[in-house]
Amino acid sequence: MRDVVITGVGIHPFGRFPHGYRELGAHAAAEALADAGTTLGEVDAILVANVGAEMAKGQNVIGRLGRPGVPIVNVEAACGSSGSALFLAAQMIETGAAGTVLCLGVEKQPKGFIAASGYEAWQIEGGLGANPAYFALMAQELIEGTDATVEDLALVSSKNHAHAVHNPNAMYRKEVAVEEVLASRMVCPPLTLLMLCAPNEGAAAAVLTSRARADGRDAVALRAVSLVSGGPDDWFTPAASMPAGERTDLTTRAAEGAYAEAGITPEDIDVVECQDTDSASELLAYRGLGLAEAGDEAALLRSGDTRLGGRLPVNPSGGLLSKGEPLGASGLGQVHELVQQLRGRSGPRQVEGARTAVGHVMGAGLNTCVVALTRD
Amino acid sequence: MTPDTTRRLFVREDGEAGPPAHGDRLRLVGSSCPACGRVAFPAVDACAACFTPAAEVLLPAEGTVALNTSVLHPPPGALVPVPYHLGFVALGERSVTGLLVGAVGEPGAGLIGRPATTVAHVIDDEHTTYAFAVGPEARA
Repeated sequence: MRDVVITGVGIHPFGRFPHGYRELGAHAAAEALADAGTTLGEVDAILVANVGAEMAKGQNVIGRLGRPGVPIVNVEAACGSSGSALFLAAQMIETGAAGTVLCLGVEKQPKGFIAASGYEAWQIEGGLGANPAYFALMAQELIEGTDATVEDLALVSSKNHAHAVHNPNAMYRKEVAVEEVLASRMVCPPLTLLMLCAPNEGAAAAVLTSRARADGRDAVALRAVSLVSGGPDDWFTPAASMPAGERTDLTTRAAEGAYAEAGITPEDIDVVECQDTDSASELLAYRGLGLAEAGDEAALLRSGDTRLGGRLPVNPSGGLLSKGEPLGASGLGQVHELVQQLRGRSGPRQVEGARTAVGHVMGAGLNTCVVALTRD
Repeated sequence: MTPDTTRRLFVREDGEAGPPAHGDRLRLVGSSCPACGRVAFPAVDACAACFTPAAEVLLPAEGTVALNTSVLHPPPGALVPVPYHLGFVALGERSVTGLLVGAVGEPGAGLIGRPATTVAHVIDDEHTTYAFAVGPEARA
């Protein structure tokens, strides 16, 4: 991808709020437009990622800002929703179908277990519609198959919470010790409450445009948006079964596509935001994104390299474990963080000298998106 | 269970047509691709890999626990009381999710490698599903 840049980003903090999704979304969209120095009238199309709101959600949000008369398209792919919207927006710019696209993710997710995650009725009634259980099974498989331990799972959470202390947009901004994570309420063994992200509310947005239209704005190049959906031998919740033998990996496929498209290797990456739905998911992402060989995930964590100040900080925003996860907004929340990192605007959580950044979301229905951003 | 499909999830191992009683041995109804051999559960019309029309097959009744966890807080819509065990049981070429019942111990107990048999699990008068009855000894 050669011609796509991000000229502005905006965010509504992630957390719990008395106001509705329209206000959450309008806040982030307006902030992104202002950051880009672009008016709604200069936008050729608007893509809105959301999972749980009503019909015509994007139209309802944008109506708070004006009625630009351009196409507004709603996109849904579970936790991968804003990755999917970003994929479409980038393609529109790259192919010349649009000159400037506003991409927004917004969610007002109720507390607790996520209902309607794609399970069939027989699974739900029979007790199999429990998302954390599947993350727990993936965590157990990681522990059984590598030297990762439950203490490593707690360390992921402790690391990300330490990062979030510096992020005013995160829901939880308090450091938690490994012992506190281990002692928190058991949800599905081996995962405790503090090893799982909290579904919550928030919004994030980005303005994408062509290089020609960037006009000296403080732009970051969007070098790749690699989106994959499930293949025959992938497994991710909520599928009722999986191959008993070797499986393929969605993150690996998406990452390989992104790196090839961007012309980068894992060694080039300076900062990563990945889908830490639970602590084990971050370790599995180290493998899938090519940051660690299979079996070396926990060693990479323990080395401190993925902590702020380390060689390759992962989730400097605090990740979903600290920010919470507004499903439709989480991917663009990562993009917000990475764009500001590449611009050098991240304050006390700045990754010094960051020039190449990678974001990663994955969600139910088997969708994974890996994005690569660079500072020219 | 409330159907999302006209396909059956399971049949009685004894071949009788009536509803199974709690604990009766079952066979899960999957499908197999005549071209590439991929097995699916639940059964699908066409192979996920090569799109060839797939044929129904009965999965083995007996397998081994591949992964397991416990659910301590009730998920939305569940009719089974917490806490309960669930996991993947390897039934030949496919690992299938299901409730784990029988010699499962306390929540969080490690059950990997234990033998498991597919049985009927009657939740209430209107809802019967399958579960895996876990044996006490790990398979050698």
